[in-house]
Amino acid sequence: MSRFNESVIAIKIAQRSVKRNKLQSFLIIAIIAVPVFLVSALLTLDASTKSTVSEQLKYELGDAVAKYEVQYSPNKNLAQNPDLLQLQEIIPDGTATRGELVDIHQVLPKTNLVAVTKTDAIFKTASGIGPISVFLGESWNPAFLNKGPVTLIEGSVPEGSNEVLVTPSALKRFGVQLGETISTESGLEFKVVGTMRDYSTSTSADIVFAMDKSIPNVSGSSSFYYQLSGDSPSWKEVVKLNQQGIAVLSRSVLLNPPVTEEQLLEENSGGASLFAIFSVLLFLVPLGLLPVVVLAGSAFAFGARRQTRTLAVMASLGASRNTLQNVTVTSGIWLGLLGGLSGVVLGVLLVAFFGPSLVTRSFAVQPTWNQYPGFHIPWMFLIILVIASGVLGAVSSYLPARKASRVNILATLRGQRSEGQVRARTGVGALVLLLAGLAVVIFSSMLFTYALNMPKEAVSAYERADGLKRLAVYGQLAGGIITVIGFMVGRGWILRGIRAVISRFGKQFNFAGRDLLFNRSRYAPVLSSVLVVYFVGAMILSVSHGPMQKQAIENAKQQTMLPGQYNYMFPLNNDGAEPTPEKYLASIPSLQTAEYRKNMITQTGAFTNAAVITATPDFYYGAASRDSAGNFLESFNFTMPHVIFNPETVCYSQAISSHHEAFMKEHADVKDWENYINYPPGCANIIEMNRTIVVADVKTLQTISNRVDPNAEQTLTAGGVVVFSRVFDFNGTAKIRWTKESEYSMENNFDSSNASKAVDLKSYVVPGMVSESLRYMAIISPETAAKLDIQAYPVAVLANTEAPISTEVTDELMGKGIWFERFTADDPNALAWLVTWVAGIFVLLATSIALGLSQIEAATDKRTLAAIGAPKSFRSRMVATQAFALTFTGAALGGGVGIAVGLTLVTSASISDLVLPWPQVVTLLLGVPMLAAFIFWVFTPKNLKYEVRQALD
Amino acid sequence: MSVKASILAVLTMGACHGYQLRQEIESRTGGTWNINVGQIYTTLDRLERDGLVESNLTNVDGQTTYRITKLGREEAEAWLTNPLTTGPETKNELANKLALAVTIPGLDIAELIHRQRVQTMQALQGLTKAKRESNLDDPNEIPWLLIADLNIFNCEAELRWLEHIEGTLAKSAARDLNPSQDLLAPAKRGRPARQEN
Amino acid sequence: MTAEVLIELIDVQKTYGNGENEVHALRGASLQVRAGELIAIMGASGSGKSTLLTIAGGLEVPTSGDVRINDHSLPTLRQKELARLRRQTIGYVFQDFNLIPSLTVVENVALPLELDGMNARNARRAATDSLESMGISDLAKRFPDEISGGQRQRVAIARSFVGPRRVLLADEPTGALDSKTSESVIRAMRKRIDGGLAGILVTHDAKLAAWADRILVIRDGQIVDELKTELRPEQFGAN
Repeated sequence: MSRFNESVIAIKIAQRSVKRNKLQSFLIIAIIAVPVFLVSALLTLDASTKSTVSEQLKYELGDAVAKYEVQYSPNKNLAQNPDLLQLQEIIPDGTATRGELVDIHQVLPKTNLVAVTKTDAIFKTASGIGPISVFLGESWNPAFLNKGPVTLIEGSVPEGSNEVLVTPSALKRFGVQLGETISTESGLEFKVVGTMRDYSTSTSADIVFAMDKSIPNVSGSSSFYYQLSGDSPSWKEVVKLNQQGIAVLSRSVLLNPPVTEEQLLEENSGGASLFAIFSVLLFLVPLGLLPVVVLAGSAFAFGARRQTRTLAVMASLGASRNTLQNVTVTSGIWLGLLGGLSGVVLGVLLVAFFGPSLVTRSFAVQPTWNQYPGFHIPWMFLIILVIASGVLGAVSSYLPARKASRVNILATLRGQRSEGQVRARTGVGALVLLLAGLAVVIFSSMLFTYALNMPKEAVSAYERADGLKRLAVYGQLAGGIITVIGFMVGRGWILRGIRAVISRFGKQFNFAGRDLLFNRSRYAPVLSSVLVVYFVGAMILSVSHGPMQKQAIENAKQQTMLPGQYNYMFPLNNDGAEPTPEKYLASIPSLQTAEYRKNMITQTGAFTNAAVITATPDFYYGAASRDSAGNFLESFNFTMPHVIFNPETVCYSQAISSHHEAFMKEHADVKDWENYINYPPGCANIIEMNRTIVVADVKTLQTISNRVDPNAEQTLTAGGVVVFSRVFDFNGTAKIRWTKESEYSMENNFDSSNASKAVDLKSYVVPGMVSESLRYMAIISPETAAKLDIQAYPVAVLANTEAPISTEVTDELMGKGIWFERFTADDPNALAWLVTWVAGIFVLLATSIALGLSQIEAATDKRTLAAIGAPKSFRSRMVATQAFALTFTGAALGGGVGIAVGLTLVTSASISDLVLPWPQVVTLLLGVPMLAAFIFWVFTPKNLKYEVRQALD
Repeated sequence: MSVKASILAVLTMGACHGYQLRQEIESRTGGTWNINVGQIYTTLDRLERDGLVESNLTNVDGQTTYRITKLGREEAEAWLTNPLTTGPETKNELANKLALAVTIPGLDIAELIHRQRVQTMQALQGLTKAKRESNLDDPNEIPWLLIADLNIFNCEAELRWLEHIEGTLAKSAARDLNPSQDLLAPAKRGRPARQEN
Repeated sequence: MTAEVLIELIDVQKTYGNGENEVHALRGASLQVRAGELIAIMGASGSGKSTLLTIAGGLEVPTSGDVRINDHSLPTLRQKELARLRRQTIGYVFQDFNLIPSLTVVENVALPLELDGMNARNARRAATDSLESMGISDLAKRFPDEISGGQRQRVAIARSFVGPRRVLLADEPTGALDSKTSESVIRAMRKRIDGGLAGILVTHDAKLAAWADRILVIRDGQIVDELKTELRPEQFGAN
């Protein structure tokens, strides 16, 4: 007789149980498979976005042995990483320049090089004209063609310099077939002999592949030089070439990377610090795992309860406690492994079929090779994931197993149920935990505020402050978790509360409530699962939404649009070159011209609204209106409105700031403040030479802002101006000052004492609507100009759209001589909805599975109800009520704690104000429970067969 | 069911004349037993001959009163308290016996039933043991087995019936002799007294 | 040489509930069963006969008094030892069979042995023997929900026989059987007992009880009667 044989029989019974209860097993497997699916999909996608050496060789070089690019002037301070075609300064002192680049043919005279130059040119397209990328050079060289970097799709390679290849999307844009001709704006003609895919671009790119030098006078280009034969340079040679300003990708170096310490130049990816990674692992991963463990634990507890009769029989036959535990734990492991395996398989399949689309977020567009080098399966991680699922199954079933092994044989076989009384001590324990959690959250939030405001005299103080801040964040998270655990401990009392509430609604609700309380071991897991999932989801939502929205508004302040919109600026001068005084003078058009342009633009129908805004000329860095001899033009006599920057709002580091002196004293160590120069504390109001829009009439306001703003309109009717600028963020008063251009200079720019005429205008700052173009100081409409007594003239047409305009329309406009600049702003609401959808689906899934399991357990009772004649409506109302009550309570409590923790995190860090995405919150709080109730209502079976109990379970 | 025994049982309560006896027996057995009057007188004669009853002077109407003797009383008690041996005829007799017995005050019915059960159970045990030791495969045993099984089932039936009626019998139905049956009152009917010739 | 006492109850009391709700299921019951002896316990519903059996089987703990199986005092045993006793010594037949639905008939019968660590093959062999003695070896590969109630009962009984047990406790083991099948079952049981087991049989069925060596009648928690089997074959015309 051996322990081994005991285990054998335990395993056999466990396996059989799993097979017999198919629905239950499926649900438990699903609970584990879902999160595993998500994680394995992410891991696989991540692995597929990292290239192997052979992939890099294939796509970057093809058959070539090396690739060169001249990036900087020669400088000993330059180096590169062996696998990245990018030079960096070894000591970042900013001495590297691009002024005098070497001629690579002189550096490598003996090497046979094929050059490919990337530039762009204006082509005539199907609807007009447009700028299209041009790759000049033998991109189709046999060393590249179908060897990795490029693939010929249709047609043949060019044989003369008047023949070109294009990408398929370019073919569409040109509106031609193979064999037809395309031409540049300047009249050069080319015959399209084939279509080609270049893997360094996505499939949405429009590219023309032409022979070298087939388009003259290209500027603003970059050239790659490929070495097709000979020995690829060694690392030593690469280092030497680096110092010449040349970056190199060498086949031999890629295949045998050098093992030097110095080569680890940090990539400018904003690399996460070790601590950040560690904290992610320590905190966010468990936070993500918590719902899974709770769900899995409740699922396994359910499985164990269903097995209790079998376990009782085994105990009556003398099974040892170990054997009994083995049965439950074995089925736990088994189900865990199955769940893990199916999750992994599904995740991998998802990436296999949809990987590229996930990267480009579009089914139509294929990514660049670098975005998705190939379908890679991270075997190690996936195997660990499967094993971890098995372990999770074992761990989650351990406690139920222990409970089950202490089975009271007779009571179980007689089918005795638990009492209807909830033990008092759970209530006490719950209360203690709730208070403890609250205390921790409050204390941590105070700690954070302290760390934020504590005096910092030295760098170490900053580091200590950072450390304290992190501690405070974790404290707040921990406090939230403690509170949620408190709710879980007190779930019996919560069920009592639920029962008390719903029993008031009538007899069948009373019955539903009593059922909840009496069979609470069945329903409590649903409550716990919902609590935890909502806690996590609500916290993420509330932490991310405020800052996201604030950031989006900040970003949108740079352009004249709402978050989520696109903004087009159509300058009224043709070629986009820096405006010269002559050009301005020459282009003082009448309003008729501006009107004409505006009509042309709006006729395309692609714009929701468009406004003609006039602008003052640009005096950026003193580009004043002078004649060719450099004299100020007297005739250029219109006064220029000029705005005073508020020194209070200027960042400390800037010389014009009123805090600058104090700041410099604080940061006597130059190196020190340079590290903070981009993000010094309290430097949210960095002044830049922004484009500022000033509006003095309601019509323009409505056109630009695309919304109703009563405060702004009130200011206008009262005679003030509306200023779209962050600059004027003080006391609601704008100082607009006119100076004579002869008095204008950088020095007295900010000296209000030089004002010849200063006007204080009541102003109103509209958040989110500041333009940023370095071209203009201020933009105003003709009406505003008239009102402020400023002479100005139209410079641009401003238009806002909901979605980007197609190239068809922009080509058409460009064909008519209308160019544009485009800006976009993130839409935080879209992101919030995405988070809501994901959280909502996950919650719905988890709730449905947990409720489904409880319904399986309740099947006998339901059959009895049906057998004694309870109509379907009774049963469905009962289960729908229970579904709603459980989900809503869990949502309110768990979500409430999550939101509270999230908001304290956000406010104590002063990241943003309390902003809750209310539509999303209501959806999650009410929508999901109602949906759950509806689902269970609908899926109540009409007739339940009353089965005489055939066997035990 | 034994008429003799029933007569003796009734007489233990007091003297009766013949016709009265018949009435008492019938009424106390639920009217299910129709006794021939002649049978009663014949039995009475036999009982007197055996010295179990004695007859007294006739009354005015010429009715003879019968009284139980000491011997008769002993026999009556023996019959009442002793269980009946098992047999096919026993069933009805047992039922009537119990029905009668329950109407006689002062009798411990529970004890009666108990004793009967023990007896029947032992019979059952005996039959079963015999069956245990018999050879089921021997064809010669078949007739015996048939009887034995019948008896076994009968025993079981009786035991189950006894258990079943235990509750019924617990409700006392004991009553004394019907007082309207005045022994000395003129009888309406009955055998005229035997002429002492 | 008298056979050893394998089952002994000494003044066993069992009370449920407390205060007003106290129920005295057993009030000082005592009995002894020797090897090779089968006793039957008869009584009305609620008389305490099932409680007596569950206490004898170690499934319940007496409020006072001692229970000894194979000279082990059950109330003093630890869980582990009690479990071993169940595996090796006691064969218990429940009123509602209690078979494990995910195991076949032969696996169910073999279960006590496998729980004790016997390897599957040997256990299977012993189980098949037991099934044969109950006349249902053809059901070996079926599952409990594929056979009738009566067949399930016999499987449960076969399970209680399997292996070298010493004590047999049966609660209404023939409730779902017709009289013919009941007789074959009790014959098999009797044969086993004659082989050296001690058995207690709780039953309503007098015919069944008659197979026992002694019949105890229990009423209101006390044993009120004991009927020994007397053989008077001459009364019945046996040869």
